[in-house]
Parts: sequence; C-alpha cells; structure tokens
Amino acid sequence: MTYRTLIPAALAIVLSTMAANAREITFTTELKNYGGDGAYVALYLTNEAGQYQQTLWIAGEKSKYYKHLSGWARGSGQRSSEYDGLTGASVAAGKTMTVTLDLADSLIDSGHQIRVDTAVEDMRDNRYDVVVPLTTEGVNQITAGRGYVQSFSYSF
Amino acid sequence: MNILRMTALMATFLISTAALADDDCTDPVADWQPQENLRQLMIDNGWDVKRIKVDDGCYEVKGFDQDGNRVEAKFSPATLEIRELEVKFTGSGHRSGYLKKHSVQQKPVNNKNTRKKPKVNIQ
Repeated sequence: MTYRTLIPAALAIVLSTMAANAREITFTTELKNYGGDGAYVALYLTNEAGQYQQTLWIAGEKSKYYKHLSGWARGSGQRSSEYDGLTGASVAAGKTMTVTLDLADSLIDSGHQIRVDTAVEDMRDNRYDVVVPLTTEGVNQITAGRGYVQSFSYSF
Repeated sequence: MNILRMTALMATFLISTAALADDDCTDPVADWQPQENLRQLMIDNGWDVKRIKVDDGCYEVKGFDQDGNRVEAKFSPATLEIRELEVKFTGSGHRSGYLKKHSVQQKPVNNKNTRKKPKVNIQ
C-alpha cells in the first residue's frame, strides 16, 4: 500500500471515529404557566457529584441577571468564556424550548447529570429545577421540574 | 496681527476638535453592553482591570496586562471591539512579539466552546 492510498484511508478512519464520538442530543424543556415575565433558563452539565462541567445553553440575554441562575452561576463562575455563543432569548411562560447540540459519547452513561436552573423577575429563583442523569435509559423519559419547569426530557 | 493670531488659533482649535471627534465612539446608548462584560472579557484575557470609565462615548480601561505592563485601552461600548491601546512596558514581560501575542488574544475569548452553536427553538 502506498502513501497515496494510506492517507485517505487514515483520514476516513479519523473522521468516522470523530463522528462516532459525538452524539446529537435534543433537550426539551416545557415551562409552566407561572404567570410572570420570560424565564431565564440555564441548561448545564455536571459530574456525578454535582460539580459543574459545561454550559449547554443559557436562555436570557442580559448577563446581569445570570447570578439568579445560582447553581450554574456558582459552578461556572459566570465567566463569559463559559457561555460565549451559548445564549439566546428567555423563555415565556407556557412555552417549550428545544436545544439540539452535539455531546461527546463519553459523557453519556458515565454518571454525568443534566441540570436546569430557572429564574423569573420578581419571582423566586429555582436552583436545580431539574436534575436528571444523562443515560441511555433516560432517553424520552419525562421529568417534572421543582420550579417553573413543567416537564423536561432529552433524546438522542 | 492680533486678528491673524486669532484666526490661526481658531483654525488650530477647529482642526484639533475635528481630529478629536474622529476618536469618539458613536454607538447608540441602547446597544451598549454593561461594563461588567468588558471587565470579564479583559479578566479572561489576563488583565488586571483597575478602572473602567466612559470617555468620549467609549469605554476606557486602565489596568495591567498579564505581563504586568501598564495598559490603557478604549473600546466600542456596543461591540467591545478595541479601538485604542497604549502599553507602557514596565513589567516583566518582553515587548518583542507583543503585537502578535495580543492580536491573537483579542479575538473572542471563547476557546472552550469551539463546537458548533446549538440549535434552539422556542414554541
């Protein structure tokens, strides 16, 4: 086998390995009709001990309110490098937010948890509104939140 | 003679005002980002921020860079793009390669979330 055939073959292997190492996951978060302004929602990943690992999405555009997403704020230190490019509009009461992203396979079935913090202006903040383990078994299982989250599920 | 001097003075004043006006930031106030964002951006870049104030419509930051050099920089308040940078090389850092090093770091500080942006839908 010559280098000419070896290189594309090696490239194909690397690319297929990369594709296999990440999985597209969709997180669906439905909010209750709590009767207030749009909710700020932090969707983030922790390890088994609940220690912050990675921000997945922050709904709500004004960073001055991020401190109210207290579980996430404590873990991430609210560093902009943690959430750059991962923020968008807040979620109105009764609406459903779906976030689709690629996550490494190594994060699934390895004790990692998905956590959701929520906060609404002039209403109470909900640290750990949702805490669910990120497992293959947990796919499409609907979990009720403790605060403004009506239901939460994920699929891949 | 006096008139001539006055005219010259006026001309100098007008020219300098025009020159100064070019340095102003004209971002609409509604689009301004909070100073805290800029502070965080600079902290992420390794700066020790001593003061942020508004000058000529721009954010002006005074502090020290990661090598301990005294720095003074102006930023557009809406985009937080750097417009002016003054460095006094007094710290332990070496000046060679400074521009190269900082031109890389002034890009968005996001090195952790280099993956593609999530698709988000709210219904």
